[in-house]
Amino acid sequence: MDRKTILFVDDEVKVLNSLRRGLIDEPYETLFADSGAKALEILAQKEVHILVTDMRMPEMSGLELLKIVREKYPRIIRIVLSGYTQITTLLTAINQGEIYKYITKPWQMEEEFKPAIRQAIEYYNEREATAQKV
Amino acid sequence: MDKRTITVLLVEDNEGDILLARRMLANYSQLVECVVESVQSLSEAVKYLSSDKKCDVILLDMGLPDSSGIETVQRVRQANQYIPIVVLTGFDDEETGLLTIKNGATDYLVKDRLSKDILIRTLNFALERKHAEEEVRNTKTMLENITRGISEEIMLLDKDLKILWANHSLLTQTSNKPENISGKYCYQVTHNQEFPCCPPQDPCPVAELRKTGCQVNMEHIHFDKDGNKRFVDVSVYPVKDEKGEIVQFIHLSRDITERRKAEESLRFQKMLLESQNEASMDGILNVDANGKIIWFNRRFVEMWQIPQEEIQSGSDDAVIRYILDEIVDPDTFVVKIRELYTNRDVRSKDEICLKDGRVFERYSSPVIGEGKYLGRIWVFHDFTNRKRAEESLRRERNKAQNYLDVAGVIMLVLNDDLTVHRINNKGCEILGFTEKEIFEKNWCDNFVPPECRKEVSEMLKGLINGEIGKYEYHENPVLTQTGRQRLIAWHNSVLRDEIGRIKSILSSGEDITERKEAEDVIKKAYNDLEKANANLKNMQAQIIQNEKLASIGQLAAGIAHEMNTPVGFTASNFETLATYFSKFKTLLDMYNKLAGEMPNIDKNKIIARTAEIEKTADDMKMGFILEDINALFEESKEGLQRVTTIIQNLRDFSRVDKIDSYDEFDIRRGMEATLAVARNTIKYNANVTIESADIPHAICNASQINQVFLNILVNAAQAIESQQKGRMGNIKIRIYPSDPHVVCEIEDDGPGIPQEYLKRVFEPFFTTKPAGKGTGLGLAVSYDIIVNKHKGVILIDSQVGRGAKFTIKLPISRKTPDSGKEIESNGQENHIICGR
Repeated sequence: MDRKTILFVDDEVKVLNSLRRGLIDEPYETLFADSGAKALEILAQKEVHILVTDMRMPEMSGLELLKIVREKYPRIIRIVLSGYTQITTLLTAINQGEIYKYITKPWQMEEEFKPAIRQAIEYYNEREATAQKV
Repeated sequence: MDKRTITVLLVEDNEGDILLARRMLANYSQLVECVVESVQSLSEAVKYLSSDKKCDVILLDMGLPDSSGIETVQRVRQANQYIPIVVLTGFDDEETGLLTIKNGATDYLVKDRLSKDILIRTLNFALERKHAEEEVRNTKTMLENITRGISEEIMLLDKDLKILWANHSLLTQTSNKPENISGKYCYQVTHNQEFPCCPPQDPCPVAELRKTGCQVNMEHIHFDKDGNKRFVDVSVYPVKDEKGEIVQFIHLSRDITERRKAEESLRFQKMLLESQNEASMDGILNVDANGKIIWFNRRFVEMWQIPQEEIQSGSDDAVIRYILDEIVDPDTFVVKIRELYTNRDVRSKDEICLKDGRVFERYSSPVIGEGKYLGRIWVFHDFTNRKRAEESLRRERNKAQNYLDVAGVIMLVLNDDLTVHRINNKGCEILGFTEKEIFEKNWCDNFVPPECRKEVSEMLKGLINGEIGKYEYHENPVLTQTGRQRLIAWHNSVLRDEIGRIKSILSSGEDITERKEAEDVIKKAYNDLEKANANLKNMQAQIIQNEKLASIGQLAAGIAHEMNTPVGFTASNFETLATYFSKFKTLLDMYNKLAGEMPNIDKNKIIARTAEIEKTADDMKMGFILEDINALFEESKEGLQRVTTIIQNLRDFSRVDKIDSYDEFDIRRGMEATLAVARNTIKYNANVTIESADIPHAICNASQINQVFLNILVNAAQAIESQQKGRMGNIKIRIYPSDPHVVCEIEDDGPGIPQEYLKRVFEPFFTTKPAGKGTGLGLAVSYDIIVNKHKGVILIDSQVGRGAKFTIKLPISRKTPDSGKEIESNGQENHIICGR
């Protein structure tokens, strides 16, 4: 099976750095963008299977990015990693961004984060397989 | 044939003489029978005469036991005036005899020479004489009765003007008794003077008669006792004797004083009338039966402007012809005049309009004297002004009535007996009766419900008695035709006559039935609202508390996010560090094992083992790890530092150590602390610039002021965010001193606040944020904190599309021990100024 590519978006570079170093042993490609705009640039150039984004970002918010990705790259599985736990933020992300998972900051890398990504990849693969059969 | 009876009273004490007399009188005559009544003393005689007993003649002896001589005759005469007395005397003495006759005796007889014949003849003579005297007396009485009934005064005068007789009228007119005038001269009685009247000023009517010998009639002046003039008509007739000589005069006089006075008064009245007519404001024209002008006044000429020659012609026709030119409708005028001259008994009153606009009222009345038609009198009255005044009065009255009728209220005029004098249409409409049905009815009895009749009646009577202030306003129901009541609010006043007496009550009444009902409903609603308001107040206090919690909650969310990120990556790094460590341990173990085996194995084997370790290290991406490990530590350290800073700021912001105390405070520090905790909320939407000068401290509760700053900053950030322009907004903060305040301006370039909302932003529960985003209390609480708690000022200034600027002014600390008071006295600017 091909290695999947995952794009992480967060305005806080330190968050991206910690993710990068935490995921070095994971069996997938990781890409990083510190703004929505940069994320869209990468998406235009490379095939990405899973998108993990923060919600609260200057210029383009995570929600906006999610909406665009849902429109243009509907196959990409969308995951949120955010410090916001307010129900309104959660609901808009789920309903408008149609996300697969909502992971809150601070996150637990081994027990929570990595399994979530793996599940997402599995889900992606299953979905692709189902789509091909049909 | 019956004999006539005569009764003789014999007054004699001598028995012999009595017997003699009786015998002589026994057979009196063939025709007469004589009855003799005998008494023997004077006193018995007087007694007899005083009784009803009959007596035709008295036979009197002068010598009686109780009287003698001539005195006896006098006494008897006194007892009776008319019965003839024949005296019997013993003396044949002519002197005595004459004396008795002089004293009232009719005749006298001497006893010695007495015979039957003489006695009877003497008695007969006495009786005859008595009879004759009675006749004379009757005639005289009759004459006097006649003359008494005559109003003319009559005197009989002798040749020397001495009064012989005067009638009753003269006596009463001259206030005399008959005895007063006997022997007096006429001039003494009728003129109060001692000499006869003499010409030329005062000719005597009797003297006039003497000149001609014929009857004289003339006017004369008498004077009464008090010297008042009496006008009299005098007629004097002569009384002549057989030879034709004038011996007496009959003087008749008639009092004409009243007539003269009446004539004089008539003359005076006539004069008065003429001058009145002349002075009259009315024009008067008097025309006789032949159409000739007999009198006119100056005013008549003036009114009609008739030339002198026309009026002096004396012809009514000429005058009529002249004035026709001045009249608007001459035909009717002429017809009417002809009609009036034809119908002589008709009176008329007409209006005549003149071409020059004047209006005359014409009265015409026939002049009738003693049943005879003497002409007509025409009176012209110029009532142009009155007519105009009447016109204008009528117009005013109509206008007033119109006002009354169009008035939306009842207008009611009551007489002082509380009957209805007037009521307008509205009043009739409300009562449901016609004006006629209401007019002159007693107001209380007919239109006031019985239960409040007493009260209303007392009030109305009070008004009539002048207690206007007390009863100026009154509310009471009225009874309508259907029996339903309407509640009326009355405003009362009174109408007075010329001398200020209250004659009627004028009231205006408004039907407030519906209003009152509405008022009751409103009152109830108001009470409900009051209760609701009280509840709300309680709730408000609760809500303000909630708002505090909400903003703290909001802050907590912001702070949580702010902390989640550094904690997130630090924790993640920490977890990664564990994998790093295990990798290091793996490599270290491998190296340790190699080092332990080193003495026993060859160089190639060592190289192979080393390569194996290196490959493991490569697989574990040790190159990256070694390169990254420092960054991991640095970043984690920074993450922890960030959390530390947040906690520090949070403590600065909330100043939990001094929650309710007021203290000197540098609001710049408050702003910095607030920005630190609010950064997370703001930073994604706006760049914040802060510009501050050195400022004195203000007396505040720091946590409250920070709450206000937070509210405004968060609002600004949210406002900018709400535009969704995808660009960063700007928040400019300026803090500077402006005595006696320190001022903090917070200005954003967001969408601004519409004008209509500006006044409301400080109202509780006013919010423009979407449901769930704001409590609507943030700015209300801020206002309360700045204005009420800190005696400061909070202003808002905004224009749509250009952003909003909040200005907060807080009193500068004066460093007085009791700074609370200072704050109070600086509180005069507690207001909000809105708009730009």
